[in-house]
Amino acid sequence: MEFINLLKCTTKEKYIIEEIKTDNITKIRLQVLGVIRGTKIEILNKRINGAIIIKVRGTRLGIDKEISNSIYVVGEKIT
Amino acid sequence: MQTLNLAFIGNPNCGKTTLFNAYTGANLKVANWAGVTIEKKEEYFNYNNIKIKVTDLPGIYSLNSYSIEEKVSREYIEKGQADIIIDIVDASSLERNLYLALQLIETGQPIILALNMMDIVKKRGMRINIKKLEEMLKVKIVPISAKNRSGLDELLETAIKLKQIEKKSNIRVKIDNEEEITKKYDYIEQIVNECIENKKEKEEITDKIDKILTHRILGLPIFILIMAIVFLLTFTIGDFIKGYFELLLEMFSDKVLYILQEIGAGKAVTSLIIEGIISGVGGILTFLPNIFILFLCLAFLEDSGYMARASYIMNGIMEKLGLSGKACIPMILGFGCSVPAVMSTRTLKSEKDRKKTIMLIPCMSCSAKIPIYVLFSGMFFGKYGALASLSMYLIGVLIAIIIGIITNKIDKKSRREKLIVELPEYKMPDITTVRKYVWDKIKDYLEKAGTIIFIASIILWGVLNIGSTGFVENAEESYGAIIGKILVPILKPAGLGYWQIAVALISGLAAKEVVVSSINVLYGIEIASKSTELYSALNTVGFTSLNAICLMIFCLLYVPCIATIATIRNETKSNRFTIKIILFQMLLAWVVTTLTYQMFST
Repeated sequence: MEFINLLKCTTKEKYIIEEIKTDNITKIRLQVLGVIRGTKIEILNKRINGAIIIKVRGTRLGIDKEISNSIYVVGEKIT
Repeated sequence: MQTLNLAFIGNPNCGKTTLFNAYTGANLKVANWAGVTIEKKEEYFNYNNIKIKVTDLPGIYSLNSYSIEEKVSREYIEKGQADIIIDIVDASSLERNLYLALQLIETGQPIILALNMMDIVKKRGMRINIKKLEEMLKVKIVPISAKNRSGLDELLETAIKLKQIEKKSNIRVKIDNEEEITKKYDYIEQIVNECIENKKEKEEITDKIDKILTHRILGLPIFILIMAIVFLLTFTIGDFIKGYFELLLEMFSDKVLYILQEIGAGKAVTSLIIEGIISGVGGILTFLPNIFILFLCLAFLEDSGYMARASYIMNGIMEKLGLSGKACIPMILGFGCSVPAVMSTRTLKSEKDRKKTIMLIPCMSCSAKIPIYVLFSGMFFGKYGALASLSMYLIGVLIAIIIGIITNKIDKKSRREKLIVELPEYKMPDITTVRKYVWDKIKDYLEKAGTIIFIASIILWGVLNIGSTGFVENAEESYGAIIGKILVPILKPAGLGYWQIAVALISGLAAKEVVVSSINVLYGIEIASKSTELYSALNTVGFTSLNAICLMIFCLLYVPCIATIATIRNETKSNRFTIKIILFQMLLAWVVTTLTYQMFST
């Protein structure tokens, strides 16, 4: 199955995280916030520069383009 | 009497500060944690004849020692200094908050979960089964609402009862790896499923507001508009109230002058009191309304939840400057005062980001420069005064952007910190928190007026009234004039070739407000508020509106006050960096001002 890059996802849709490919420190920062494999996320908002707001475990997180580019997901409906 | 040691811990935005403020009275002690520049807040108070000490730990998401804040909290817990740890948990986003709770529970220390924001939970129609939650977590839970001040006594009662339990010695906080984090979150999901009824999936108000405020295109213009409104309020309403303060000062000054004449005080004493102290310190106090409104706005932005959005919205622009969007918050705070702004760069994890942000903060025109702008804009631009003042902010920001882009071009390889920022729910700011925030700043300002500005005014008066022949009638013969005249050739190309201005600028190193008091004293203005007098004095020496603009730009850019320099030194622990910053600012101010003057003087 193809994983989609979070950067290419659409607003208002729900996804499930499959993989996070970034440096270790950023990974840990995301993990303690509950952004880990298998977590459901919803994209609330996208900025023109690639930064996005995601809703994870009842919390809104603003992340920049680099991070959203490193998160791979699958659509919720597919699984 | 025995002391009960409580430690407050919790995620950022969990309402910890509101709760702390709700308990806090007059005994608040603010210091730093040993070795690091993170604020340590402590407070003693009595409750039913029991002395309670509360320590406020920094807001963190985990105890995995990723950041300084986490390290500080971890060490504190491992030392076992607290009798009871109170973990403040935002009940409205339980899922994320429980991770830290689980880590804390693992230590085996006596812990109470304070389930905060119960009012929001109720409003949303959610129900939390507290008994079940207690069972699953094996911990005591007290529902509270820090905002509505409910459940506060129950929390203390529970803590007092829990004190009986033996504390474990030799506490270790386990650092989780990926697998353990996943395991904890799996358990949290289970807890949430079993303990929360009626979980809302509906679009919330915050999301609706965010649709506009963080809009993909409109977000930025709205941000700029909000900041513009903040400064517009500062200058329009602030100036309006300031008028009344000036009247008061004038009355006071007249009264003192009358008394001094009645008791037959000597000329030197009268001059020291009226021209030196009242004009110097009093003149500064009249700017209180401007400062008050500015900090009120900043407090509002911070407590409402918008400030976090600013770092998200500004991320794109900040990236072009080679910074993370997070650096935006210290810069906004810089509009208030550079000192807390420099301190707040601690939230930036990379040393490089920090230094760069610190370098740019002084370009964000601080509130101490307001008196200078208001005075000179008012005198030279009349009804366009507010516009002239506002343009200083724009110039400052523009120069910061230019410096940022240039340094980013030079230093391409360094990696900036990536942005992960929690965007809290929007809320009406808590009155107590706002009041405290504003009052702290006002207190600082008053303290500054009473100490640094008071002393600087006296020294300045001395330097300007004493010459080689003793007490001099004419300031031209004073020591001050001699010093000022040395600098005149350097300042001349910048349109500031007046020895009085040179002296005023030197005195401004103590605090930027002093520039205004100095100029009043230097031009022999007896009553600080009578700017028409000063205007004609300046006019006769050929000081035009262009010179006024140059002075404002120079003040905007040149070395920040001593307090800021000391803070920069403290925060970076580097003399070299501090000296580099000082030289850089001096040069920057001179170059920009000179360019402006030369460009428009023909």
